[in-house]
Amino acid sequence: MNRLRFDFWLFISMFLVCVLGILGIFSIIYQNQVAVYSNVLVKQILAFAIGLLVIIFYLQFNYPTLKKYALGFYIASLVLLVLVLLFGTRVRGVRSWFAFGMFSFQPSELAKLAFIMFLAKYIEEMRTWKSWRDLFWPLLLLLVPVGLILLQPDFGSTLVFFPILVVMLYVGGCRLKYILAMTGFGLLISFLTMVRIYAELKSTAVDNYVIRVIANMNYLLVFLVALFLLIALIYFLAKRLKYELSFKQMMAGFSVVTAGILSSYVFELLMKTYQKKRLVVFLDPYLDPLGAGYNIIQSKIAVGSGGWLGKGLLYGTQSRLGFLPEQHTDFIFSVLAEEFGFAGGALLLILLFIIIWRGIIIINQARDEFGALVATGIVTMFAFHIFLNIGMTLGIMPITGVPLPLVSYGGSSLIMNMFAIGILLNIRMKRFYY
Amino acid sequence: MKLIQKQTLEILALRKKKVVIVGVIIVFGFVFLFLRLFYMQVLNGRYFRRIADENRMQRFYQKAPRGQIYDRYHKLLAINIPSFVVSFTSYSLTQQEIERISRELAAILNLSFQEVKTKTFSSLQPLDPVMIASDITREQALTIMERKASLPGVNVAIEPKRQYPEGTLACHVIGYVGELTLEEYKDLRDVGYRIGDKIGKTGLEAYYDKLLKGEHGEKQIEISASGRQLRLLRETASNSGNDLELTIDAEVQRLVQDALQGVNGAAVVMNPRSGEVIALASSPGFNPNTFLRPVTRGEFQYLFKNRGRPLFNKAIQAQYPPGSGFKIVTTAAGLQEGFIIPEEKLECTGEMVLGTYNQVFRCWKKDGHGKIPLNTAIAQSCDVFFYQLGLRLGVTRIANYAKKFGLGSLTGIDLPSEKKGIVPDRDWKKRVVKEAWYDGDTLNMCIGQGYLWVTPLQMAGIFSAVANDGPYYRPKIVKKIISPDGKVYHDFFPEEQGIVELDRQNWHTIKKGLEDAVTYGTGRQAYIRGLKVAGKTGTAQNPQGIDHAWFGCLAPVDNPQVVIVVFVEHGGHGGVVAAPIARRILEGYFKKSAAEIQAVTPEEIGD
Repeated sequence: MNRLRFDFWLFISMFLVCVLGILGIFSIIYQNQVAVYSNVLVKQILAFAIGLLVIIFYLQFNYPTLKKYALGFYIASLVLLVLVLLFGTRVRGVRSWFAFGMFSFQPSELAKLAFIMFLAKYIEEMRTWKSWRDLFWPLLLLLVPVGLILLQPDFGSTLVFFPILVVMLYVGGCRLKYILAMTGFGLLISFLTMVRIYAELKSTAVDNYVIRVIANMNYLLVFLVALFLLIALIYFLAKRLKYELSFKQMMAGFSVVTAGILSSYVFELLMKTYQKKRLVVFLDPYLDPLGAGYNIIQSKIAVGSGGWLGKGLLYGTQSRLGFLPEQHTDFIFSVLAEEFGFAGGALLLILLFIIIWRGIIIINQARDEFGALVATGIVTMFAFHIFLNIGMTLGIMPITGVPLPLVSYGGSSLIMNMFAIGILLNIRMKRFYY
Repeated sequence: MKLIQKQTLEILALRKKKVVIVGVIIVFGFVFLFLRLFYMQVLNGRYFRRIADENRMQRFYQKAPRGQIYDRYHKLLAINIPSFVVSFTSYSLTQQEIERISRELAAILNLSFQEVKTKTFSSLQPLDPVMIASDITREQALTIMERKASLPGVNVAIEPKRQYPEGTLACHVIGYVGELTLEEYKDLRDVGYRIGDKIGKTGLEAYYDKLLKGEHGEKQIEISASGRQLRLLRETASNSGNDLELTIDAEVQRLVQDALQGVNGAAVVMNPRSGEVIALASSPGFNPNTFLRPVTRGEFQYLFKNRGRPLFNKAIQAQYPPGSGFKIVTTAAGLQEGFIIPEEKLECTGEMVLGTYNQVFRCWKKDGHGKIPLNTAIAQSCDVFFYQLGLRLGVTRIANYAKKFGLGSLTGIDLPSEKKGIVPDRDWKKRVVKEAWYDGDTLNMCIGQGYLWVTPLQMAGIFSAVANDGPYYRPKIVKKIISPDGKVYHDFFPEEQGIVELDRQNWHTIKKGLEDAVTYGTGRQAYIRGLKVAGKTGTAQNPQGIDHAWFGCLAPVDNPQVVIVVFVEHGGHGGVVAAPIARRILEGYFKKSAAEIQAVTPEEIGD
């Protein structure tokens, strides 16, 4: 019985993805006899083995027990996030690791899962959504760990919390208009910030009237123009659709837009120049060809030069000769795509897709709301990481320093992600147990 | 219980719908990544592969020595000397380091810091070497090599550099080399030329550039991102260019250039039997070594502003009316076509009145020559005699013979930018001047004036035809092309450029006339005791100023070894200005080969 409900497809895909990652790391350390890489392969294989044990171990349990520990789990992760700020090791200016001799542990990885579980528990218990005030607690649950992680400061790791929140609320029954407002707010922030920064950086390089105007525009002016346009647009649309917009609805729309514009302004003020560059450099890598653009340029060359079948394991010139930066972490997909070509890259994409696809099926198979919501959070987390990371290596997403789940080097991340897969497997296996 | 179940089912159905929407968004995301991957790897794979190769390979070029150029007796005219060049590769050096290196280099090389800095920062690709300075001194090179440790990325190499040991000697023949321009590079990059190469700009250096330049050696080294050289991927040795052995005799060339000293003009000395050019000079000349270093202001003024146009090779590019030298062509046409016989006498009264407007055409001798035969007419260069002959012949026949002698078309000498002159006729005048042909034009043409244009080298062709009794050979400057391994890559044999078919006695008549011209006629200034020279003066009328002087000759008459044509721009009368120059060349030439003359003389006596 158990054996039948064990999601073989999900497990095998996860297994193969991990193996591909290990293969990539093997290729990198084999080629670069550099001290930095010593033990990297061993540690990754060890983490993989631990991850497998965690899965096997966890399958003995019933996942609803997680509900009991969700609060404790969440609080523990917050405590660890505080502790890491005090006692963590500083690596490249970021304090996000606990180091124990040869091993290290990244509490933000744990925080993601803890957040998913506790949020799932909260949503399940809430049942009904009456007003926008119901969003207060979920938002607070998000902001505490995000704030702590931002203090490290690790901007990239916080990003995934937002789509997790939105998608889980959506699936959990939150009213669509709140979801749309939040999504719109997020997209508005990203879009406005990127356009502004791009124009600002570009204006020093080219003499283009439009770009100069955007770069030097007064924020209040932008805000007023945007507001005016929006009123006109909504009014026009509403008329066309013969739909009466209430004053409240209009005000809600405006506040989202206003908040988006103001937040992107604050964002811009807070960001340092190098962060700004990383955010927009994918639009034009030659804005900063030796700095932030370098990674993108080299990654694109690595991926593109792989061709149909790749250069062969250990023969990737971009990785072997050190042109590709951050090979074993952020840009491991580029290494694999260079050495195994489109055949390998597409295979990896397909395997990752199978994981997501099985995850989506498991959401619907879950026997209770909690299981469905946890599965939703996990699927969102995976999908978001995959899009951001692979998109970055292909030069269509900003550089955010997000690793590729199950593939990139990193013990905590690998074990946590495998644990997440274990939870999915458990949700499926225990779907008929009451 | 039932209600709860129903509610649960509704919630489940609703959730399913939402999950499908989330799923669809995710599927779109994956499809997008998939297509992007396909686009980059499959559709643009070749492009990225090339960039990846450029990334990892550093190419070093070993410049090939250019082929040498020497005269027929192997006297070197163009050689290569080793010179030190400094280049810089920035690798992963920081900005501050590059600035420090630039400052140190500037101090060693006596250049301004700014100048060096512009160059060191000019390479966008950190692995492309940029040239900092060429032709630095040995001491500077040694200093740089000693301080190698503090000058990372700086490389001193020895490269062959062109030099012309004889300076101005045969400058117009040899030409000079210069930096490849960007336009030239665009045209030539597919045949192995690279930025920074030298390319022949004029003369033989330009004409035979592809044979002279050789092939660059290349080293492809695989490097890491930090610029460490890892392994040799490919290495090809450089191949020197081919050597040129010229038909030029450096001593005669020197003699000719000395004879032309101080005038604006040109001279050609050619072997009529083969077309070998023994000397070819244009005056004033220039020193080709000037172009191998930065040209000074004074030099620039001289090269480009001087009215004598030093860079212009007048021997093949100056086009002027030939003057009386053309009477050879008129004579040839008249005799062969039967419009005159040697015995017929025509009267010269000093002028000829033509047509309804009573236009007067004068002889150069005001009083006239009286009744004279053809021989005297040639020797004295009587214009009125030839006016009458010209009218009998008509323009078409004269033009046809001019073309038979090679006028109006390129001789095909192996030098660039040769001009072909003009042989006018009725069609030509209608087409170009847009006027009908008048008899007056015929009169002008038959004595070598008017619209007729020739180059000195074409005139040499006319005298060659006379010397050979008909055939004349394409002028050649290069005798042999010798490959680097010493084998003769190409050997030039005499090539007939054309043939003027006249009866033997007609050639004899012409030659006798020309000989008399030198012995007692207009060309007396070229007379040399003991050497039978047949020559003809010429004076090209110049309505704008002083006339241009010509003299052409062949010697010795009975066994012609050499044809000489001298042209002096704005020189005045040919017999006065050009003939003495020709005599100096003849004297020098035959003194040199006096032994050969003596060897021939006994036979002549017996003849």
